[in-house]
Amino acid sequence: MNTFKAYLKKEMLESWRQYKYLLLFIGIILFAILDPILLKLLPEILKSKINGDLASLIQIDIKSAVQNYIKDLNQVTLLIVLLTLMGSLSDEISSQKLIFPYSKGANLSSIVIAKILHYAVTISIFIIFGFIINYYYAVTLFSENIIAFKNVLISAALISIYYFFVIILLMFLSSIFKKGVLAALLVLMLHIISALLVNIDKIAKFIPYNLISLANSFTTENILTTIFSVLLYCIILSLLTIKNYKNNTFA
Amino acid sequence: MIKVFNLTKKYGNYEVLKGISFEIEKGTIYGLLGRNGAGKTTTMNILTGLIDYNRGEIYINGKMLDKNKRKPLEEIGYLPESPTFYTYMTGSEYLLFISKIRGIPYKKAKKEIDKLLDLVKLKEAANKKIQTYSRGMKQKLGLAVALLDNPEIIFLDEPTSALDPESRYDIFNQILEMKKNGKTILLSTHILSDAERVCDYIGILDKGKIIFSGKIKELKQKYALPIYDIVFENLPHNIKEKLNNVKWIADIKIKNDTVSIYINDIELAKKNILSELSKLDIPVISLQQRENTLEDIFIRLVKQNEYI
Amino acid sequence: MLNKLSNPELIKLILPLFIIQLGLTVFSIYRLSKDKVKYLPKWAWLLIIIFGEILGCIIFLTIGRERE
Repeated sequence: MNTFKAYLKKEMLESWRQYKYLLLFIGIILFAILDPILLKLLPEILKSKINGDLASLIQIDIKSAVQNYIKDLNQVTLLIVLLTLMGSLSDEISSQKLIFPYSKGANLSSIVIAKILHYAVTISIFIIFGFIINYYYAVTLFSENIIAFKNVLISAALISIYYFFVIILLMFLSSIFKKGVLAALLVLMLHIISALLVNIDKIAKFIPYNLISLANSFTTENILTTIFSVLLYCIILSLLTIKNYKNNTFA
Repeated sequence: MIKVFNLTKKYGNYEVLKGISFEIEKGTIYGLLGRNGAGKTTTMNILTGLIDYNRGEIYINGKMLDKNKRKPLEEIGYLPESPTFYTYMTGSEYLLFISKIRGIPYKKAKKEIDKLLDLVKLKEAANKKIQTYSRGMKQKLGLAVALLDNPEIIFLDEPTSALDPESRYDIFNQILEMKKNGKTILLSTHILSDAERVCDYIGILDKGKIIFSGKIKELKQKYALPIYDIVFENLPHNIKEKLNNVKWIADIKIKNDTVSIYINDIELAKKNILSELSKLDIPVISLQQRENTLEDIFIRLVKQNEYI
Repeated sequence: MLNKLSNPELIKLILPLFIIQLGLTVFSIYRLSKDKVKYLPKWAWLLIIIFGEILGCIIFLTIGRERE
């Protein structure tokens, strides 16, 4: 418990001093504001470029504005999150920063758990905050096809769980390869591959990426299978990360 | 205090440590000597519980250091060769962070950190970020970290190898101070004069084996051989061949103008050195006898080890 | 539609975006002037920060700076 508390505080200090909070905040919140505004301005821009009739074909409503934010969350934002977090675990292994804490009795499992929970909670807070802002903008700028705020919050929770999985996957791959860039690239590849696999109906509900599809459709039907399987993957990957960490850190 | 018996460590098929054994008494300084790559850091990392070992037994303070039990390690402090920190923290923040890991209450930790920073002469830089520290300052901070929570046993891996003379002097004084306070210290170095300066006992580690372990004095008694340093008017180039088959000469080394003759039988040497020299028929400027240094002994032992 | 654009309501909505963009750019340039950089010379990073807008700033802040 001592190690967990010490490392939680250390992660907070690190994220503050290395501007990780700032980067995550911008990477997540920015598009919540930017997307609806761009969508609002798009017809105007098009109108001045092409003739007016075409612009009126683009129909943007509240639902599609939020969906556009979800799209950005699993594209640009994912990139920014990976860029920001990729060095977090591998740096500690490769530059032997753990020797002092470990030789003074730090518990490696607590270090890994503190790291994962810190980033998961931070990103979840930003994502929920992002969805609230995005919803506000969407409702203010557009009028048709309204969706309930409750459903937007559920989408926020689903995306948060997906990010929780991404963080653990990144940590797991970092603990194997000890190179942050490589781990981040692999996460990105798996993300893209699973975006394709999710189209196969039979396995879709066991694929983490399905969380994004569910968030995008604003349904609450059949979401539990996916949530539970992702949480199961998270637990397994965390345990494997801890195991790798113990075996690889000083060898 | 520390007992190591038949310790073996393999990386794949390569045996880094081939069954080393040594013992360190409480309140003494033991120096692990060896060339780079001899296995010093590996030994340190095993004794501090950082890495596993393949075979052998280790007892720290009477308790066995098992692969999975880290209990005996609560008594140790370790300063690795190039200490790394979270450099966005300040020196005192880092010490506070380590205190938290050990569960020392805030007020007590604050007090101890102040004391330690004073001891390692880092008070002025205590509130500066570690990324601005010089190599010597990092070493001092590392020493403070190792000393935190008053461990009984302290491991120092090459504590002075990258330091300027002044920081080196400081670190040595602190090591001697620690000994005064009853600490048991294991330090590794490849600088022999350093070992001679502070160590009570030394172990010479070469190619994964301990080829000597004991007091420096014993080492010298056992292996000290007299050396004749001779300065000739003109340096004879074929002197090695000429003296090659003289029985009491162990080795000949030529450095600048001086020819050093290593003796293995001092009585014979005393009787015959002058006659051998006169046979050469070259004017001699000076002839001096001296004891060999730790460095000479070290080189000879390591050389012997090569033929085994 | 056009008259809606000049609506102060819309300006109020765009303002946070503008502040984030400006603040991040100023902050990145400040860090660029103080920190050591990696991979590219400083002038190249400056171009990335200014013309890469928000993404340029983020790339500079995440991989462009020497941490130690």
